[in-house]
Amino acid sequence: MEVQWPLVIFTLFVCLGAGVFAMQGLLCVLGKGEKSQVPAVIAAAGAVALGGIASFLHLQHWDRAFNGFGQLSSGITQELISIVVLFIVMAVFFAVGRKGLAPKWAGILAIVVSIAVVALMTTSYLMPARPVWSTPLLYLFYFAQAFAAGAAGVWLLSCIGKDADSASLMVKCTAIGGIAVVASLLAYAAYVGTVSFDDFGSYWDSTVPTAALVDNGNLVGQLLAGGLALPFWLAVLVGGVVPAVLAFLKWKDGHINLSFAAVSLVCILVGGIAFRAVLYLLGFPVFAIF
Amino acid sequence: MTQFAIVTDLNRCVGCLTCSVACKFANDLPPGDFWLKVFRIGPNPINEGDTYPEVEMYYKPVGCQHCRKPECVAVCPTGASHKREDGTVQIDKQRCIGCQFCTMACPYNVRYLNEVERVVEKCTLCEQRVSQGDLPECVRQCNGRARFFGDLDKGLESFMGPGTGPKPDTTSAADPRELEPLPITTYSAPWSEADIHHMTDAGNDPASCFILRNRKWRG
Repeated sequence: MEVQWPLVIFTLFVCLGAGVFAMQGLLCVLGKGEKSQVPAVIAAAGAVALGGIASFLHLQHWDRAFNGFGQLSSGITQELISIVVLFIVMAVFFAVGRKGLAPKWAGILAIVVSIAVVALMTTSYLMPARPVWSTPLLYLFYFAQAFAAGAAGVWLLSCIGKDADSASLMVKCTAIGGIAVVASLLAYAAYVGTVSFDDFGSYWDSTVPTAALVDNGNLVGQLLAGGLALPFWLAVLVGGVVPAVLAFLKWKDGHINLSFAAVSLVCILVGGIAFRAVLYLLGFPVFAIF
Repeated sequence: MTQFAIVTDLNRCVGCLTCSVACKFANDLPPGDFWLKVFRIGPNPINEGDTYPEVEMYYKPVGCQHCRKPECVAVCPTGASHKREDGTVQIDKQRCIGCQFCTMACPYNVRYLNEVERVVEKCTLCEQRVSQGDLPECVRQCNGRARFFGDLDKGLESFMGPGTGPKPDTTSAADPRELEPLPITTYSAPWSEADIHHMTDAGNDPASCFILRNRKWRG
């Protein structure tokens, strides 16, 4: 199917926002990150808001959006509710952390709600109709992405605030996140090799007589060395390997390095966009020829 | 309980495309949009390794399957996509926000965004006709007498196709071209349970079905 860019931006920025908030929550639980906590909450809220605006652009009738929302079985409704809860928790975190380190319970709350938001967002894409999406590995990818982007984001804020203690932890988390992104993408490639669709042998669509046959065979070949290799390897190398290597270079010392943190974050986001595009391009339905 | 559906006897379908064209005409579909498409499946070897003339093929009309557990309804945030008491899956266009999650959740790709109205559309099983006791247009117009409409909960034998003569009780308001429906058994050769096929079930339990005898079903 065609790449749904507004949804790519939505999931990317929800992962970034939830990741940054969760990482700041982690620092809070460990008694660190006082300097970065206010900017982190503002940045996280801004990222999620940006994602929300992008998702509205996907709606063809956004004017009707609140005209009947409320089907709880719908992933969109669940996402909306979870994001509202996330904003409330962010406001609470901001309020209790404005004049000093936020209490530990606020950090735990931030982590739990951020995880829930990413989990619900992922669940809405787990559609049996699209076999490539219908796998728990989707959770692995989105959580790895959120972890890496959140760590790099808070690393960047820690560099700006010259908080070496927090930056030290975030460097390590960025490295681990980069590796997790690479692992999730390679696992996904292995899974794609097991996906199959209805096989018609020879067929012909009377409404588009000259159309090529739908190419949904050998998807793993397309991914690793075919038409989708460029975005896939961009996601692996730029989105995972580069930030992991940059973070490893600063593992022991020199944690305060604005350019390394910024490049890591940009790479994770670029890689995230690339693989989300791949997910849409591989998103063939079970009956792929209509 | 009622579950309206269509059964297509693929051994009778001649691939004339009349159902697809009649659907477009009856439902005023924009150019390039289809609620029903006819696919030629094959020619494929009868057995692996066979070559011509040891091949087989069939035509397969595909539209919304009016599933018993429609995922398109479950994912709809506003309730625009809904399942009616007659078992059909319908879209309330006034409530559709055009999020297109239903198009992603459909295993058969039969939903699409109407670019003019900016809402999602698909086969309604000719609700406007069925509610008046008539057959869906694709059934009424089927040249090969391959498509039949009815309530699955009353059994396939109760399904009806178009007849050959006018309705005896036509009123002045009725379309004189309406033919008195005849049961599927008037036209279709006997079938067994093994001859009845559904589109691949991705947990949505498709209602509409196909009869295919003596050939390999290919999904």
